[in-house]
Amino acid sequence: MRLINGQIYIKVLFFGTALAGKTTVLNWIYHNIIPKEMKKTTDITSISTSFGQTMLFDFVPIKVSENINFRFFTTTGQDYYAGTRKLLFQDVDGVFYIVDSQRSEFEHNKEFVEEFYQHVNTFFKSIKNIDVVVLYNKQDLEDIYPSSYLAKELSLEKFYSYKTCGVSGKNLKLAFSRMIKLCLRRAASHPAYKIVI
Amino acid sequence: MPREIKDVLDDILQNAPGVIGSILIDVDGIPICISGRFELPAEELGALLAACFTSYAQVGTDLGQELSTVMTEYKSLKLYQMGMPRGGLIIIADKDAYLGMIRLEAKRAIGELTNLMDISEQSRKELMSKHKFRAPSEEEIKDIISKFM
Repeated sequence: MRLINGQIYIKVLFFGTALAGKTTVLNWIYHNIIPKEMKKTTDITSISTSFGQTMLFDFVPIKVSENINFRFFTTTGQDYYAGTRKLLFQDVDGVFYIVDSQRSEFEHNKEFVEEFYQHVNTFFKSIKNIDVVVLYNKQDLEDIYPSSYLAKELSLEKFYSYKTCGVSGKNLKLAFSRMIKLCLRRAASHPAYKIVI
Repeated sequence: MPREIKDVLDDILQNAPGVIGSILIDVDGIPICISGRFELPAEELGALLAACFTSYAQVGTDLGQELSTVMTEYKSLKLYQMGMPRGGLIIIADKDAYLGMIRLEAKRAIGELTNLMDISEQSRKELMSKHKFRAPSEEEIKDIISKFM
């Protein structure tokens, strides 16, 4: 959380395996939830590969009140770009953890949980220092694991979670509101901002 | 009157021929101060430039080298980006601007900006009172959430 020129900046990351739906979810949120007057850019800023997958990040800045700004970043899910994924964890306040619910992605999800906790230990010391909302995405597809099974097997039970579909937007309003509320409450109760100027 | 960040950026615009704008960003790309004109929204520009710089810095780390500057030439623009503690300075100039002059101005400015951004415990308190900072109330949080539902 940063305080710059009297403005609070809160950074939220979308993290998860390749093709889990991070960019799709951010797109749905951008076009269906965020009111026009809060948007600071005309569209999502993306640095993508030649075949359309996120290479570095997608970025959406919004201003929710007179002095509070949120900045949303998606990470790349491609292992090839794992180095850049780590860089985005710096100074993060909230993480949307996107789980691809398909059975075929289970092992990949396990690897990412491990990576997630590594980043948490590196950048935040404790998971208590960030807010996490888990989205069990693609719950509309067949051949998926139930969210309760995934939560237990991936050790994600302690976080707020929602069964979502990034394409239809199912439960995304609830999940998004939850994240905003958690981050704002943290801002209200722990004003330990990194003041830049 | 004590000099402020804006004065330092304005000086670059004045002193280096061909410079059309400069922007000071924090390490994450949040715009701290802008001088001159930019085609892109400052926040978008800041995020992209911070990402580029961080990527080059990572390459440097892998090579055992510290990154100080990134220079980019576009068809009709030059972009000069210099790292500094807690952020970076970006100068955008016409294609005919002298890089040597820009480099000189950037170095001078970085020294002054680093001092201006030196946040001690005392200046932190002063900033908090100067900006009349207030944390969001429960009512304000409810109001914000209602706009998403």
